[in-house]
Amino acid sequence: MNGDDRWDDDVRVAYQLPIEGEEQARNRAIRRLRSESVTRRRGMGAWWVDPDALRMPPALAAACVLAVLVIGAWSGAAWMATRGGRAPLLSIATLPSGSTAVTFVFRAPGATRVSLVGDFNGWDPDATPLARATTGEIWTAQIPLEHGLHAYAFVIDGRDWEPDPSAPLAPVATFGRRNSLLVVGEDQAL
Amino acid sequence: MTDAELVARAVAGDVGAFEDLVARHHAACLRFAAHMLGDRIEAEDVVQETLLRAYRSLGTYQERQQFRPWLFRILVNRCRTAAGRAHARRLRTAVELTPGAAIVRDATDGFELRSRLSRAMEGLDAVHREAFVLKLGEGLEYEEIARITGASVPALKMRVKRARDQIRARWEELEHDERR
Repeated sequence: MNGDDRWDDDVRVAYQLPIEGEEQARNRAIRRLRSESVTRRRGMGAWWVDPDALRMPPALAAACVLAVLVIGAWSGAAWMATRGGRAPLLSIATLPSGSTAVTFVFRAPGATRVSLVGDFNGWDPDATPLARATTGEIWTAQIPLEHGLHAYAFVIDGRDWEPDPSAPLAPVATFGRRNSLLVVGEDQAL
Repeated sequence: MTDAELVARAVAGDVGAFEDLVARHHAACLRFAAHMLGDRIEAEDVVQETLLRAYRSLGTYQERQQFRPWLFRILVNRCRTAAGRAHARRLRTAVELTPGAAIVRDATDGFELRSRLSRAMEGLDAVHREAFVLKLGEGLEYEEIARITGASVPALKMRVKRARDQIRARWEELEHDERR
């Protein structure tokens, strides 16, 4: 074995030393995958949660999103006019070309705290608080989201978990709670 | 059970089969990401993103492909994204950041070797680091690395040679300093 080969072997040994905490990291990854799989169950209705089921050009996707938002905002406002209680109003995906910023809007009269939970923040109620708008009833948060399917819900005052009625519901409840689904952007090629 | 058989079961909806694939490949993914990003915590995040993306994309997996190169292709892309994030910190080595996080301390020789490799890779850009780690660290063939990275074989050979020369020179300096 020459010097080059010995050095290569030393490097390989150094590189392949196990990473401390790998087992714990692996268990955390598996737990996250299990929560993901809840929204990806196959069988009846799988089309609704399969990110590969629907593909379309970005311009067409943006037009569809815009149409849904306009109709949703109009019907939501009309519905809310007849109903004074606390309820989600709308979640808006702002999708200029290449952007993944998503604005969530939630109407919660009387709430002191509203937060967004989803697969993108580990379902942590403290991770993404919404800011109260000047009207006092509307809460908003804008966050970057990766293209693809996301499950989410709103948490009011740290205890009430509510899905977004303007978005499709996930087919399977998580711990008895229903979540909403949101598709952001086009499905990126790997 | 082979990777291909586990993938087939996972595509059919068996989450446990995908967990078996994770158990099989997680360590290699974490090791690669830690060496690419120099940050144990960021590496774990990137590996989780990679596994989730792989899980969501199982429908695009072709049976003729091998699972590990397919997974590494996703991982390499995620590492590139992480390294280029607007708020990403510059590439650092494990020894610079959170001492001990990516370093095995239960074996003195191992600790020194890992530390020396990390320090020797300091300053190496992501493209050369990626080629070097896949070739010398993971022991992949150039054709396989080309499929993973999208670079040509001659370009990869050049990158590995440059990276190797730079790392080896620094390695020998460090080794010399350690002996003094």
